[in-house]
Amino acid sequence: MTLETHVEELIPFYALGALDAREAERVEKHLPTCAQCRAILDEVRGGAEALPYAATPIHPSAQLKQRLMGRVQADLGSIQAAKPTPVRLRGGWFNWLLVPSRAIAIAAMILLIVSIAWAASLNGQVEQLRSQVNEQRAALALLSQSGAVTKELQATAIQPRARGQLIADPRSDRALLVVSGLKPLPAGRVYQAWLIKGKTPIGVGTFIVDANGSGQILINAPEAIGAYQLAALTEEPAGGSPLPTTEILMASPL
Amino acid sequence: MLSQRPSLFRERFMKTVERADEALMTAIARKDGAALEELYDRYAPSALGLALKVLSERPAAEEVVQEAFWRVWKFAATFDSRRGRFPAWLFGMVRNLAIDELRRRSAHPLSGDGVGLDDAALEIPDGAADVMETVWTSIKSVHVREAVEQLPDLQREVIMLAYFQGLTREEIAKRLGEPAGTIHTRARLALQKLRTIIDPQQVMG
Repeated sequence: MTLETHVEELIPFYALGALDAREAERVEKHLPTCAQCRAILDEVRGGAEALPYAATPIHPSAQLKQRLMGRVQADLGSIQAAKPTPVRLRGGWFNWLLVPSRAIAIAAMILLIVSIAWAASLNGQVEQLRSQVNEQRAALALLSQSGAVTKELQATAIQPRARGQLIADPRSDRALLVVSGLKPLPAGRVYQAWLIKGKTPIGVGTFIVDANGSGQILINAPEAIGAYQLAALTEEPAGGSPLPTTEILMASPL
Repeated sequence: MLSQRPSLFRERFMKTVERADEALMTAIARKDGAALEELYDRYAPSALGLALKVLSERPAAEEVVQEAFWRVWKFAATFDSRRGRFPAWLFGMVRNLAIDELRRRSAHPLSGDGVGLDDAALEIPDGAADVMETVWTSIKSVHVREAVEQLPDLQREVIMLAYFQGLTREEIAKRLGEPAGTIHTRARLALQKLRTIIDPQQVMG
């Protein structure tokens, strides 16, 4: 039957991955020579590629990820082991460190240095926050609402170190977006916050970030925050855009 | 004009995700474990849904997903974004591994399981690592399932048996008691119709 079947008829099954190796090879040899069959493949491929999404997404168990990453770590270990190691801690410093009391003393010292650095950085953050009294008041007001929740915005690959939090009571139309780790923008460019309802993005304000990449904006939405499905951030020309003109930098479902 | 706006927005979003996929695959090829973890968080729920729909058994489906991502890790350097998008590459692998397992078990369920649509509620975790992708995965899934529901039963049956049960053209013809030509026509019509129902820009990026 296969040999009598026209290649054209095989193409939907080729797109579905439902041909045996011999049939698939027949199609692959034929495609470069036949524009008509390539056109059929173009017609059916989109539908076939969508089919995986016809299955209900299921969240895997945490153990599955652990097993996978365990294999990956073991693989990385074997890659490392296969490489020549130029420096080895055989004697000297390494042995000196192995004395427990010294190791504890060094660990304590490291902990102290880290603590001081952390306190200093916290201090810096406090100073920064103090300079934004109005927003903080709004944030406090929002946070003190009984139904206030915080949503973490996830960065995309464009600015992977960016972070954002949206604080809002879903029943209220006010929200505070606090961001950090964003690149300071040149003159004439701003960051714009969006709330997406159904399929429609609604611009809800623009702002810039300071030299540290931190910034925040108090959002007054047209409707209660709970009416929106997604919060997102893009970079736009000063004054903002009616619709996003660049890729999303961070987003969170609401 | 207005109706184009969401599509444009979604298109931009999908392009961002695609670029992110490519960047992650480049990092994985350089043996960056964190990049694999990120890609896993993004696609593992869809991959597990697919494997489970084929195998109807969770432990086996999880094994398939682990193996597929292990292959992503080992063979990332062979992925060529010019030849197709990452999800199609990954899901192709998941589906093939699952069908192979199904055949190994010689246990094609004959009850029609997998022909109908899943009734189970979307199982979307709170606090998943890639929240944005999780949201869009659920949107895509609902959209595609609605589109598949709109297909005539006879057409839907053919592509579901081929894709999720791994049946050959001959096996489908035999099972449905129809001539092969009818099966070919139904498969082509089903996929063409699916493509027109699903706005490719919205769902596939």
